[in-house]
Amino acid sequence: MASTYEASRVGTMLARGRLGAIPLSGLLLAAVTPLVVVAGVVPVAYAASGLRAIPLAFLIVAAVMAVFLVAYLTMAKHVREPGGFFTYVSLGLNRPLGVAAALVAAVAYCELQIGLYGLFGQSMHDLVGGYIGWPWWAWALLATAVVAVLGVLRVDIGAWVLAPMVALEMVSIILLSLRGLGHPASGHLTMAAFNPRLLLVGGATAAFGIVVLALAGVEQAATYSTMVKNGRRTMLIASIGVLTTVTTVYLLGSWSYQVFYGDKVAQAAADPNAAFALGGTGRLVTFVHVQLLLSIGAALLAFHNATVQYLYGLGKQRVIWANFGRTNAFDAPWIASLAQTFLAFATTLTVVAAGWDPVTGMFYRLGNAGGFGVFLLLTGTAIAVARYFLRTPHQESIAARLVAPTIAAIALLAMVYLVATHYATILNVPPGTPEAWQWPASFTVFAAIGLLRGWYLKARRPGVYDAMVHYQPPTVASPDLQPEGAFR
Amino acid sequence: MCGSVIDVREVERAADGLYLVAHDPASGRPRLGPRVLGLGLAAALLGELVMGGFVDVSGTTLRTTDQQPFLRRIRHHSLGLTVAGWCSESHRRVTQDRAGEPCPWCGVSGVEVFPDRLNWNTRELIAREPMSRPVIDWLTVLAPTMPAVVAERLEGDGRLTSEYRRGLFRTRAVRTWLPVNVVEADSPRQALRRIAQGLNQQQPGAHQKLLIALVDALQLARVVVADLPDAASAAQLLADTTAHLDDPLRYLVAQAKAAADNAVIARPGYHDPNLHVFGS
Repeated sequence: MASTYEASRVGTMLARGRLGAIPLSGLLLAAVTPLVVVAGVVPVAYAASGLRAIPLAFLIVAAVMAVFLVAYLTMAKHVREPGGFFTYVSLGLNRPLGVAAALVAAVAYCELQIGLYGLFGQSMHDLVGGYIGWPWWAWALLATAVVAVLGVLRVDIGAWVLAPMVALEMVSIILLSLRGLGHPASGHLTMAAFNPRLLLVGGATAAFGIVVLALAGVEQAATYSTMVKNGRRTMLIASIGVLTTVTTVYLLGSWSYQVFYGDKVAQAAADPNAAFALGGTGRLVTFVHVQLLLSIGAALLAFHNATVQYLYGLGKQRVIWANFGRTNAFDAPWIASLAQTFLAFATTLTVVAAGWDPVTGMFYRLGNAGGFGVFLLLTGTAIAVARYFLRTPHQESIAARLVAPTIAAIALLAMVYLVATHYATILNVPPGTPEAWQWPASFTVFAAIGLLRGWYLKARRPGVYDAMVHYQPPTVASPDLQPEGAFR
Repeated sequence: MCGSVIDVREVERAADGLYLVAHDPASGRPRLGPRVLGLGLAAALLGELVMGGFVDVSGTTLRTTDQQPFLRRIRHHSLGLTVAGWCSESHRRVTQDRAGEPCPWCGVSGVEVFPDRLNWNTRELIAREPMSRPVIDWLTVLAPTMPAVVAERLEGDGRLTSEYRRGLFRTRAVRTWLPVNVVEADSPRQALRRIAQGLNQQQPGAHQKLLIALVDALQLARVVVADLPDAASAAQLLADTTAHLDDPLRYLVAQAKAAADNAVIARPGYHDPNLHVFGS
């Protein structure tokens, strides 16, 4: 130990570990996984639901999401805690609802992640099936094992590795789409995909549900609220930047499907390689295929961590099994991590036993259910933000603290209603099929369990209840006391 | 050789205790990850300064007081006590042959209230900062170096010994610390076990209360109460002990807990082992 300190290093040190807008964008893009959406979600959405309003739905949901992000990140400025939806709902509404939100979040991210194993298995099978004749589920289980190890060792892919990776992903989507647009089925470019009347068709608004699945991940900026430079500004630049970029790319991608396949888009998209057909048969396809697998791999880890994060938070606060809050010498919540992996393992085996299709069955069903869960969370959070600022205005502009969350909450509520009532359209099953209401309704069960648990803790174990939200933001923060490199 | 016989354990420090509880006494392996452990140790160190009256927590920020820690280091030898170290006023070394006399510069004889160089350095770091920073900033800044720095302090006291080890895939040897005496290294944990079983006659001291609060906050209570017949109620008794913690210390523990959660949940950045606040 040296005898001297260098005073100036304190500010530098605090500033150095912080993320700027570009690495943060890389992290967010990796969680959004644009290539998985364009190559996996969009064609399956065309095929499974028969909906054609998807490009238009992207525009509407992205606009609502932008308004939501303004409100959400304004609150993130005042809440220096990484608890995600749990913290926001707890502080804005109340703690039992926060517990319900955390449970719904854990389930939703878990479903999103497990669904991806199906897509991964199938893609791997398609890519190397000629050399290694394993079935899709063998690849899926192999991926489960890898994620299990990485999760327990807490291997994180750094922001500066992810940023160029997702940049390449973007390039491959744009190349695919441009090639698709260059070979229109009808001989010339059509704008039919953007016809607003498409949304008026019965149940077409269910496309919102699929689109939210595609945008899930953008909301994760607030998780990094404690470690970004310049606080809200960086988070806002990164999230809105990512939102704009992926929306543009999705529009391009989904439009190119319609142009390339014309009226037969629903039938053609049922082929698992529909996305790659856009690229012809050359090297571009192999390149995109490898990119897709990398992208799924990154997403598997990202959503695994998102699930574990909620399980850890709940375990640490003794809301659920306290061992989920235990960490090992790698700072990893290893019990929560293994539990999530075990669930993925069991689900994959169940899917194999039930004989579901890995893509249209496992990936699409679980993915949409997870997407719907995220939708519910966004809605709850928007309401929580509005209520939080009603009680503590915090000198924020009225647009950021009142108008934005209110608009976002109303729009999200309307969309949740439309998606829930037309869920049969998403799954492309006749209305009234049990599955059409079971998936969305499952979240009410989890929310109810969370709510009951929260009330129980409030009544019987006040110590645990009081300790749930451990950071209460300081009520008075004079600007001259704020350190330069630090948050706010 | 020396005038008075002093039990080293009288000057038990919270960070030392936390370090020893958080490592396996036999193998020296950590029971926590470096980020969580670092934050806990940083809180313990700041707690030592608060309890010594050298820094104040006002609101959410930390500022130094007029008091300065002494810089006389105590060593325990089999033959008695050896005092060797530095005086805070004159920065002069206290030689061994003067050990029995009162310090000519500060007038204190034998053991001092705060004989610790790490505390001195940390207080200086806080004092030199032109503005008062929030507690969470200090935890963040101190955390990365804390495990090594506290281990060095324990090594200076002769409780740990260090060696360089090369891992399976590592190109660089890493300095690791091992307890000199396994039984002695386990003593902080055993002391907490006695408290958890309600066997202690007197109330735990301030340092011990802070240690218990941090152990509880960092999920180490299970290590303390392991194999006890009634582990759940022992853990509860341990948690109840922290109910009477002073407000500044309670705030420190809460911030450390929040930061540790943050370190587990949020993924990239934050921990850079190459950044050292303690010079090189």
